Amino acid sequence: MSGYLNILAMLLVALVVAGCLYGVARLVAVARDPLTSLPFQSGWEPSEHALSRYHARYYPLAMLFLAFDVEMLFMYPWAVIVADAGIGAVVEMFVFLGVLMAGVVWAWREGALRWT
Amino acid sequence: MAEGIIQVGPLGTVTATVLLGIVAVLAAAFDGAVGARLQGRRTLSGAAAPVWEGARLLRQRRRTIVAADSLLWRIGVVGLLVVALLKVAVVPLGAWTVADLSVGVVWFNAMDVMVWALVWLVGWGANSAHALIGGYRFLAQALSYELPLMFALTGPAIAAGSLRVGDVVAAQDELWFVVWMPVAFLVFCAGVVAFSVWGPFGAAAGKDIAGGVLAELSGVDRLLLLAGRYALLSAGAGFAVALFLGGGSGPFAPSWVWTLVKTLAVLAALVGVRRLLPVVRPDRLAEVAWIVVLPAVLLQLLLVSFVVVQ
Amino acid sequence: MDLTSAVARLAARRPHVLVVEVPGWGPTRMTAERELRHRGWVQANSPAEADIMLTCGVAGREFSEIVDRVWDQLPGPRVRIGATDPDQVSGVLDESRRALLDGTVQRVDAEARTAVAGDVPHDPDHGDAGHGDMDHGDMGHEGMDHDGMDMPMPGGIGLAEGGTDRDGLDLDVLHVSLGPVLPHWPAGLVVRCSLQGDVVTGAAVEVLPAAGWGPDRARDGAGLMRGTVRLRSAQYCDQVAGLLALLDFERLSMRAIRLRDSVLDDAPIETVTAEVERLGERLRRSRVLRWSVQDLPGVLEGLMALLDGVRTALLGEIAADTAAPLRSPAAEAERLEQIPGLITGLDVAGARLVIASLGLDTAVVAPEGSDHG
Repeated sequence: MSGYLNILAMLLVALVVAGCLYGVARLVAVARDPLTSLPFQSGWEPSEHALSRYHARYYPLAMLFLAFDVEMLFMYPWAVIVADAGIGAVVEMFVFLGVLMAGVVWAWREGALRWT
Repeated sequence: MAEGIIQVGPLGTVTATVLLGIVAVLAAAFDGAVGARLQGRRTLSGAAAPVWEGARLLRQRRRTIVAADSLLWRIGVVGLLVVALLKVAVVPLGAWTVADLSVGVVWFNAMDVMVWALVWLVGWGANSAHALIGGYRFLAQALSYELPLMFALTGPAIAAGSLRVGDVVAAQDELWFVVWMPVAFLVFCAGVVAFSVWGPFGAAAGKDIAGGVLAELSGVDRLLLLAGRYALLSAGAGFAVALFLGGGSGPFAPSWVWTLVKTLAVLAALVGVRRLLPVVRPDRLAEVAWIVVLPAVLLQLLLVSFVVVQ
Repeated sequence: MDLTSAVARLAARRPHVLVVEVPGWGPTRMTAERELRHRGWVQANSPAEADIMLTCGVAGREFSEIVDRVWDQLPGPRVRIGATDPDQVSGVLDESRRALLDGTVQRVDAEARTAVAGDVPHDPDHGDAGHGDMDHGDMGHEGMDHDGMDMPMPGGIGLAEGGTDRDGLDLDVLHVSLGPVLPHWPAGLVVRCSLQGDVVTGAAVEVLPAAGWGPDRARDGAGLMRGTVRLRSAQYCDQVAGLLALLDFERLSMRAIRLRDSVLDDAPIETVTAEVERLGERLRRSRVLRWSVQDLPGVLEGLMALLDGVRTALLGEIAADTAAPLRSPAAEAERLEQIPGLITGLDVAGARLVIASLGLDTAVVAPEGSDHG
């Protein structure tokens, strides 16, 4: 458990470092308060807020990623025991990966990897 | 606990932070030197860039944008540096490590997934079209680099039969993993460049969208983000040394020296690649990453699995 | 206070400069870039990054308003300078650095900008007075004001509204103008884009004119503008460098920039053509370059054509012709009109590469008040 305590200590140190930088900047910067500005749009005023429903055209790819990513749940424990479990475990895992990869190839042919 | 790996006390975190700071500044100095050379100026004149840039950004006023999502923006800005430090916590320096986690490899992986959210938050928080495009570009890129990166990470874990970083280093006593896992090593390095929004994988901060996620950042906010990028590169280089380059093993010098030397060498290559290659647009990357790189890494893993069950 | 001034001195060693080019002042801008490179200063990509804003040329009325607004976005310490002739560049840069170091002036400037900076543009009267002639009515908050919508909008800016995308989905549309102030972008060009995500779903093009003809351009009897072959050649080279810079291919873009500067510095023609040859060979051989723009028809061809222009323009010098005719305004206007068709359906990255590969010369567009407009 002491490992995670040290991680916690690291988190604290990191936040302290960031806080110190902000502190130094307050001392040194030409003004303490931030400048309120319009967003940079080549010099034009924005006609609407940028925060909007963004068209992420790669959403089919995101679905594909999720399917494959969940697989990592099995991959990590498997990595630890595969040497002991032997060839059977290797075959099982790579058949599974092969099935997933077949899915990727299918999605590729369906055009999920292109969006422009 | 892995043999030969000593977990330091909580104060060791300070040492690790200082070391990461030094390595990151060296990376920035190297980048400045290479840039100066390309521009036809004296190499040394560029090496001081991090000092001048640091001073410039500390002096510069911070900005906020009309109706910006300030909290989320700030989380993203500070987060990259924090995540880099949390990664370094599991990177051993010679025989010492800050946190000897039994799942150190997974920890590193978890932290690099955090970068997805953080970079996107930097793009989203500013309420600026260019930054927003940058943030979403990063997500598109992440969809392509993350899986190969994850699988590349598992290669050394399979070979060592452990997710503890110390065990992975110890397992390379006879032969460094880079020798028989070159594909995993290269893919991991590419992944490091990608999660650091750097060089060929820097489309999220592209020149074509006025700096993308960086477009609206000034002052210390910008400094933190730039520092975070160099810190991520440095942490990634350090982890590559532990995973693939035998950690601190090497003749004559103490092991911590070897860790640092190897880390700096890998880091120099990662920093230098920025000027050598054009930026890869995420939509160009997807096909290559999924249809070429991913199967290549899987084949690498298959090879590794066969070797370990023999 | 000692710490502050020490930091200021370090900070001023490597200022970031936002360079704004007015159509017709390309040579001044190129000289400025060369000067920045020699000094090891950095060209800023956005006002947030910049300490210094350098305007090259005399902007027309609308362009001036744009430049003023960008100036408001520099965080500070900030210095605003202008140059209308390549010879002035070095002087104003020296001056700007001194002004950057003046802590008192910078503090006063910063205090004067507290709390007001963000509010000014949203004064309802301001919108009408300042932009009465702007084609904004159908695309933004001004239109919404007149509809009598009372919903308070944060910052006075409207929210994005939906529009049908190419797949028939109802998604928010953002109206984003690219240019005139944008790095590696043709001077004065404005492309008003409708964006869904980062896809351009519609575009309209205009060029914001200068207040007068640039000093480096004279007009001949036929109404064509003429520049020296050196400038023409350097301009081509600049466009090659710009496209490579958009790709962030710094190893090659920097080579093109150094080549451009050597053209401006009157390097012997043989040296220049030899380097053009080598750079061309390098570009042709680069598989990664070819692959990265493969999906954008015409970009690579445009790049090679621009590089070829560097040499062709210079060879004009051998033909004892001291002035090379530039494109006619009509031909350039025709090319501008093609832009919406070329970029609609592309994402912003692709659109920018396509526009850069056209090698536009906005300097031929007539300035404000000229009867050739």
